[in-house]
Amino acid sequence: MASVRAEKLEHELLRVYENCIKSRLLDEKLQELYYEGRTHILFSGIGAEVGPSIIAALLEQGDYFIPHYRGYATILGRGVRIEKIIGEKIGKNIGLTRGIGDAAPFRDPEHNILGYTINLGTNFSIAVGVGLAVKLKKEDKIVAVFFGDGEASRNTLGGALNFASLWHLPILFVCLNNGVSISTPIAEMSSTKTVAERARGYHVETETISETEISHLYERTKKIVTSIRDEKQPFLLEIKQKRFPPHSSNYDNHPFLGSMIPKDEDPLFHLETFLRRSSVSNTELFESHEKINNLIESAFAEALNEKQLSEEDFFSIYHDS
Amino acid sequence: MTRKTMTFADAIDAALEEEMAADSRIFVLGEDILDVNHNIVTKSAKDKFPKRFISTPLIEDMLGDIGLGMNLAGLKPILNLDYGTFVSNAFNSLYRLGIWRYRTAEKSGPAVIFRISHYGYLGRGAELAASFLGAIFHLPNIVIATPAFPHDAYGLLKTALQSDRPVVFFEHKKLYDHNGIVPNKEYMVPFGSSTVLKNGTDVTLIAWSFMSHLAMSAANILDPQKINTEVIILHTINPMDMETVLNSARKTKRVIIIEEDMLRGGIGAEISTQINKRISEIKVTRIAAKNVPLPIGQKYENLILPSIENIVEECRRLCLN
Repeated sequence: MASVRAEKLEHELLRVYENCIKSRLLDEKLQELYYEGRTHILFSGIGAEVGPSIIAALLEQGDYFIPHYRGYATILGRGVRIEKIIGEKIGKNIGLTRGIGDAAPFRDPEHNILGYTINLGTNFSIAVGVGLAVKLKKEDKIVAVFFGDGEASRNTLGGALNFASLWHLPILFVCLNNGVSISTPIAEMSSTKTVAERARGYHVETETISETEISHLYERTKKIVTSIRDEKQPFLLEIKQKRFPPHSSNYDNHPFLGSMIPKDEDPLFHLETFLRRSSVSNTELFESHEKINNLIESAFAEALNEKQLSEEDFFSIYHDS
Repeated sequence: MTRKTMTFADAIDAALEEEMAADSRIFVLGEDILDVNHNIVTKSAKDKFPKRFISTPLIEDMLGDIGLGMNLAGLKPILNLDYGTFVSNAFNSLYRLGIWRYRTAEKSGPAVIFRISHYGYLGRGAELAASFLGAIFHLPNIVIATPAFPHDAYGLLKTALQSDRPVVFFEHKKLYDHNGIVPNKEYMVPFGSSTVLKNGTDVTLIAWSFMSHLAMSAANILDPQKINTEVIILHTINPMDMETVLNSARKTKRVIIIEEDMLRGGIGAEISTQINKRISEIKVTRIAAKNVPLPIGQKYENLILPSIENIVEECRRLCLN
């Protein structure tokens, strides 16, 4: 029985690993384009793929997502097509918002990615609205909203935790706590050591887990998701991360690559080590990597060949109404 | 066609009750919304659909985004602000409702309605009685409905609830008890429409919401003085029925725009520009509140806000000089 469970965990984490690789390779390629002047601002999520990938893998098809602006792991994990992400970033009509969305364009109703705003703090309110709709419609769904420790300073977090607790809304608040808000350390921004302890004041259950504790993070998240679904209560999961790249592509003049992260600090390396120690062979990992690399390359080729939105189509959206 | 008499408040209640019966996606949110003494306007709808009225904590700063989230998850929320001044708290989310469809490359939506009731001419002072219509007017894509009579209130709310757009439905509290005649059947009042309340040849008075009543009172005073006014009331100020305004302006060659907001940067400035751009040799003037906040108490407030006397005086000045 124990070995069946271990095998299942290994299989699930291999899927998580593949999603992390996909996100990282896409991130690196998009950065190359940025420094060639072919994309808008980017917020690299390199080194922070594991937590979002685990959550994306553990939620169900109909669940709602309000992703974070940093990185691509969440939306890729939900099944958003790579060429749609690339198309968006290079201003092509096949993009998620037809290549004319702003710095936070990830909306894909087909995958219940509802969109989000980089006017940070307001995503909490949007999540409450979605959670309230789920409750009023008596749906068996969860809303996952991602935010950083900097965003947690906005007063709407308190308002949202209060409302979600009061109304028993099935919301998973995911704080990706990388300890820095653009360049200011969390110690200078927060009176509490963790964001989670603030939520407990609103009677919202919490847990804080490091992103490098792979199997623990996976197993606990699985239980948390089940408890939200069963008990219809909000939960705040705080994932302790480290931000390796600069805040945005505007802060540097060259791409930030995964190879620049010290190995023992990289959660993806920890995941890879876990898989190697299980029965996943080096060949399997290598083949996964190669397969994903080819997928990304062909998605880039497809997106680059696509057309931009015509002026006429642009003004069919951008008109006074 | 048979007709009936009803108050402005009852007209809103009737429209809401009918639309809630027809569309199960409609929910109403607001502070103290279940208190019958405080919220008299929507009594019948509330009695009929008590579970679709949701009393919220003090969260004006979150309300628009909660509404956005509800709409993204398939509901059609009506958000109540009992004091127009609370628009200052909600402004961030109003802005987001305005820009959302552009940044997500969609041609309509989000279908979220703000019912804003305003305390002008009731002596509540600057912190409770600013209307902010001028500020909302500057936001893209927001329909601003400004009913003046029970007829418009009913028909515009029906249209708002059947539309797929963000709407600010502006209710002046001085109008709630106002009686009016309405058709004894269901009807709609389209966005971008107006009513020529009184035909005239000497000067055009343009008004909306409570100012429409001041304009009509002034017109009745001026008639025996051989100053023949044409009174146009705008049902919505965005979109605006400029065609009716321009036709009247071409006829009278004199226009006075009356608004309750401050003169500086007001809606009248835009209307005036539009008229002057299209019609030469025309006199356009504006009557509005002085460029100061509203003082407490009606005695001092009356020194700041437009009055019937102001309108009569301005008409005389335009027509007799």
